[in-house]
Amino acid sequence: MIGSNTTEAHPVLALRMKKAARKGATIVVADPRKIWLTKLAKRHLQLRPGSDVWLVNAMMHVILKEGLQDEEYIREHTEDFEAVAEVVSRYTPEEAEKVTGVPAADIVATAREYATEKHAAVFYTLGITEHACAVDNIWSLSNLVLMTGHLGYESTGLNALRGQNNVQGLNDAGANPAYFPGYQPADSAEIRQKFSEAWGVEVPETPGYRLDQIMSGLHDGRIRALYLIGENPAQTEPNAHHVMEGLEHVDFLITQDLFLNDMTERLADVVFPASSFAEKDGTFTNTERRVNRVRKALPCPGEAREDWQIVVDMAKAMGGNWPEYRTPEDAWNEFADLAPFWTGIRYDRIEEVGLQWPCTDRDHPGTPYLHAPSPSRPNGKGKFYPVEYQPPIEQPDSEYPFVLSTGRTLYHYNSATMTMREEGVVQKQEDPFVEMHPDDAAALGVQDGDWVRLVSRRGELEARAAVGERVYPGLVWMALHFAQAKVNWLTHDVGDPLIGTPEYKTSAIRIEPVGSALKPAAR
Amino acid sequence: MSSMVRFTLDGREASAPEGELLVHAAARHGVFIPTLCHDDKLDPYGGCRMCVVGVEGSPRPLPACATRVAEGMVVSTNSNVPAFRKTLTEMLLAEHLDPNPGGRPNELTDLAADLDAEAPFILPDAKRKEYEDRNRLMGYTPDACILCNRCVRYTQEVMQCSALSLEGRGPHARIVPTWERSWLDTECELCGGCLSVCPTGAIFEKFLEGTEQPERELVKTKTTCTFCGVGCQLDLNVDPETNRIVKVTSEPHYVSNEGNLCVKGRFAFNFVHHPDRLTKPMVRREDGELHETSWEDALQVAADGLNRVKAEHGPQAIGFLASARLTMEENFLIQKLARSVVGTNSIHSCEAT
Amino acid sequence: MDNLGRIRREIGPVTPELSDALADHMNIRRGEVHEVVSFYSFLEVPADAVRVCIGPVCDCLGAKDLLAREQENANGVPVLGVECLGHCDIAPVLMRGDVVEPDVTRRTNTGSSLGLEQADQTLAEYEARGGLAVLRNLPAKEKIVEELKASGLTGYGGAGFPTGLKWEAVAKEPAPRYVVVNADEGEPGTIKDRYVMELRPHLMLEGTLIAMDFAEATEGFIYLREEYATARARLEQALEELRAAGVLDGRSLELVIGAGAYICGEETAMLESMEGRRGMPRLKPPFPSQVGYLGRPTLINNVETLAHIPAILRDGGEAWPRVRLWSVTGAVTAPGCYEAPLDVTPRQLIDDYAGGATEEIGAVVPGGAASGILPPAALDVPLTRESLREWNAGPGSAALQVFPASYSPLRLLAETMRFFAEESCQKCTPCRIGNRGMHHLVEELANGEAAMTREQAEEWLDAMAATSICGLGQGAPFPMRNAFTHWPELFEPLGEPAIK
Repeated sequence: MIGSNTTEAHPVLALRMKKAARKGATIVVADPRKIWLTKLAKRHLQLRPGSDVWLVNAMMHVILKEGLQDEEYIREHTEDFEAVAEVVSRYTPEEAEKVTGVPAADIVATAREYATEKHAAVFYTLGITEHACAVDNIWSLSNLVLMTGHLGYESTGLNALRGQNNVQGLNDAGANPAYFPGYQPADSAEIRQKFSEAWGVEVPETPGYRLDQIMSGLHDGRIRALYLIGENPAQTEPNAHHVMEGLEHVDFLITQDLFLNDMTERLADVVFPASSFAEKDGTFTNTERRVNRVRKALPCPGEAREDWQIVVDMAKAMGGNWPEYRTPEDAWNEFADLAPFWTGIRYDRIEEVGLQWPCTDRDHPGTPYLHAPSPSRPNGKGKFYPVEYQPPIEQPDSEYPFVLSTGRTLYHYNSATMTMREEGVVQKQEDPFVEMHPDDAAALGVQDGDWVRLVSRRGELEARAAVGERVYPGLVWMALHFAQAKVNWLTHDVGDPLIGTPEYKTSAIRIEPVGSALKPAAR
Repeated sequence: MSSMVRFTLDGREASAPEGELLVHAAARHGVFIPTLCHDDKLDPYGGCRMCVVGVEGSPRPLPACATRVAEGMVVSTNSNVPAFRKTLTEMLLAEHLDPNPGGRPNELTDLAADLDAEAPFILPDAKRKEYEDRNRLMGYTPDACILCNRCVRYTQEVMQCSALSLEGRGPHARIVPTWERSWLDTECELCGGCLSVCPTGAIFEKFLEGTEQPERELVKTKTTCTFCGVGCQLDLNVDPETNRIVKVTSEPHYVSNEGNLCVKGRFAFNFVHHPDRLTKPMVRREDGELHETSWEDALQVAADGLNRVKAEHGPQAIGFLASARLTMEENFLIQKLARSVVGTNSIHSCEAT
Repeated sequence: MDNLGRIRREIGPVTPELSDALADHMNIRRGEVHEVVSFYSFLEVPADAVRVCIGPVCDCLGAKDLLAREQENANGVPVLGVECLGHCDIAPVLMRGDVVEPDVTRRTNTGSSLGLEQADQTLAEYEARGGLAVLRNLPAKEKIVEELKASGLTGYGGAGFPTGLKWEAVAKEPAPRYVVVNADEGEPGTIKDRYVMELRPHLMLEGTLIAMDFAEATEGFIYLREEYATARARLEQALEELRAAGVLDGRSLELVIGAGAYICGEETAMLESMEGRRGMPRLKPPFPSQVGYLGRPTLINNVETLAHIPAILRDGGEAWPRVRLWSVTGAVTAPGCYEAPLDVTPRQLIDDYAGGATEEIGAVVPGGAASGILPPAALDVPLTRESLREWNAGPGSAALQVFPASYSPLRLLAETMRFFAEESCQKCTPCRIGNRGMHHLVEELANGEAAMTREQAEEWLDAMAATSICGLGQGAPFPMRNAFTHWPELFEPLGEPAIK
């Protein structure tokens, strides 16, 4: 388990891990914090945020030094192994200990156990990807998996636990500048031709902007209008004050959501009242690529409309020439006809149990494990990418001495517009809080529950100190859920150079006691 | 895979995978053996004894919920087993002061009705201490509890957390949140797994108090949870009169969650009915304020706005941010709107991580 | 259990805060510790509390008055009524902290197997009497099993399983194996294991070490009830002596101290307790000889059983005199613990060993709460398993309790059923509710009320006997059924018996 606080972010999936632990499975947790799963873990590798490449490279160092790699798998199913072997030869566990803070012996033991167990799986979540070195982190884990041949059969693999209900489906559906639906590359003339024909209109060739480019485009004038659906980037994007300024520049802003928020109330030009999951039909695709049905249990309140209907209405209002969509199933069928991996999935097949893509025709049973019998690249070879360690963008210094890491909790969901409206849940977690080590709290003169001010180069907020040994001295941690204390006012927005993911997991901050255990006035 | 074994069930030849629990093997052969403390999510317990059956060679009947089929086993459910069942039911009724709290289903009273069993008396020490909790999600009526211990075992075996305890022994035994604290002050994660396995409705969703409908008259719609990426399958239980979700349940055979839910999936659905929900389209007028308006007007304003920016700055000046909260179909249509109507590939979302 | 016991003795009664602190320290769930603490009678009680025995023998000799007096003069120290303290020979009895009142006096006889008449104060004294000779010159395993079988020795804790067969079965299971001594003597009226441990601790330990060598077990445990403070001190001293003498080299033999729960004398409940859980009996099969302590094959023997083994192996199974220790208490002149043949009769025990009855005898209990209740007509029945079977009773733990005619059988029955109800681990329905139901029935009868029909009562007893998980619930019906037979007039309000 690396960079995944599974019991809080994926509580029901964590039950499988708990069950496995009860049956004797070995769990090793690599996480800067003492998360719940460390209770069940054989070992906790409490690494410093952003030092994952060092940890994983050092594990590979041990595996190669001790000859524990799967030679046959490397020979038959991979390419460019030598480049990785060369790089990791320099990443000794002893040096790794200095950078990661994880004892060398623990790295060695974990490497041995992982390499020698047939059913060994790596699970990760945003602790791996919310870094400026996100892609490097993934590549290093991928190297580890390929090197040991832990791929293509049950209880193995490199498993990304997708955070949101339909984040997998969102990508699958093509809400991505680089891909048309079904991961068909937007830079392929052939693919554009295919979609142009299917939709009866010329699709654009100009590459689209990624999220981070859209955000920066708000400032430099590249983006003049924005259509926001179920998102509040002024809370969820890094350096949120800066995002808010950008949104202030935009000429025309449409939002489509369940609730107004402080940003939309001030800035939206048009607000469409949208639908919740209980008010429409459709599908969500979960983290195991399983397409599950969503079913309408209730009418939308008032004049609110189902989101798909709003989009269809907008297309019509803008003069688009679309076929008639009577139900979401019509949209699904159009998608499935155009996306080969989904062609075999139809509503009538997923009434009881969802199907896992790839599922290429109506008789295809779905695909529980990817990369079987060999990695899913055109040549069938898994590619090793040598990765060198890059330190986090913002290092603590005398002015901002603490490393701030961020994440999610069990009781809330993203910007908490849903969960903060559930009294029983709010009872459990109402106020913004920041986890800090007792040594740091003592040095600051702060008691558990006191309010403190967190200040970064980009903003400040107040939160209650949650003093405990979940974090080590020098590290503090805060959840993103609190509208009155948006942690993204503090985070920086220098993301991964290749794909732009923000580095939510490390920023430098300082902490000032507020001097009161009483709640500050709402701001 | 395990091999099949042959056994005898009430004089008939039967077969089952080796090691299958007798209660399941019998059910597959049409013999229903009642259970109260058994739950497939939990380890065999064999506490309520309701499921005892005769097994040749055993001096005493054995619990079918905890006994595994073996080759040549001779099982009888019809000698003195029905009499034991009825007596055990009478016993449970003798300490069951509150058989029907809040109109919730009760497996014990159902069984008593089937077996025509009545308590000869109520035990003088049957009354248990009341439990009041400030948490707003889960309630507990100790007098409806039959000490099957399913809830506690769920917390220990499935959640592996510390929320509920089986306290004391003998007549003083009771189930209570650890050290009788509020659930909020235990390690409880408020997943509600305990109430989902309770056979008598002793632990319950507090908001149930808000509906007049007996639970069995709610309308269930199976759907996928709207929170994290696990894709738990659940049933929205809607009161058909008020059109409100009353509770969320799940079934053990649902893939991928096996009937388990978390605090958000089970309890955090009131946002659907929240008075803050937007119910009318709004547009910003010259006064700088948002005003409610008709759909026709809002769509026109929105379309004109985008068309104007497109005319002045080109399609690249328009960005779309879609959402993981929405369905596949909706996201498909949104990207189609961006690409085929506006003419830009700038369609992305916060999924960039 | 060890940690909880230490907390109670060294810090004070286990509070929720202490319980949580221990759970956090041990990385176990807080609720689990709560469950364990609440299961046992004494963990939440201060170590200096006054415990007044309200077991049946003490009850018939005025325990309730004693309890009331103590409660009146409590001076802030908690005073509890507790189940049998195992000192029925000096009833009515209480414990002030670890101190027993009145002073302990032990009455015994010159026996042919255990030699209790002479106490061993030290290991040297024990060795001077030939102690450890058998251990130091142990016969081959086959020979041991042969001698045990020849001796006819059975488990003297109450279940009566042939010891030779049990040893043989454990030896066939794969290593590692454990040996556990059941020193949780809690059967009302039973004081014999206490006598053995207090008078001849080394003898029992030699038996235990023989069992460990036989089972090739390097780890052994003695599960001792918390109330036996004197026995505990004697065992600790004896273990220390053996350790110093190098006798324990290569082995570990530890005391595990209970915390007040009769059910932990049931061997699987005991294992659960040793593993730090509530003492709730396991489902059987599998039996402890296959799946015992920490899931390993485990040889469990009663204290007295083990104490006989050196004599059996020394003299040969055939030559062994086939005796056991009989606790004789209640309305007799010289209550105590006497070695006597297996086929001794109640009258012989009362007259020839215990100095005769002090009053007219109303009823006798042959061997602990679940062994049955017999009328004076049974005084000449040999107390063997076979002959007692005809009386629907058994010798149990060989604890003959003599009740005077002035003590109502209904009271005895009510106290017995209350005891079972209180001590039920609660897990299974027939035991948890059946015993309370029977107690209620008897209490109501004392008021002339019929809580249920005779037929219904018999159905309940049938279900208890057949469907309870362990011997507690399975055995509880015996005294009720005996009473139906021998004192039918008491049950007339219930109507006609069931026709079978």
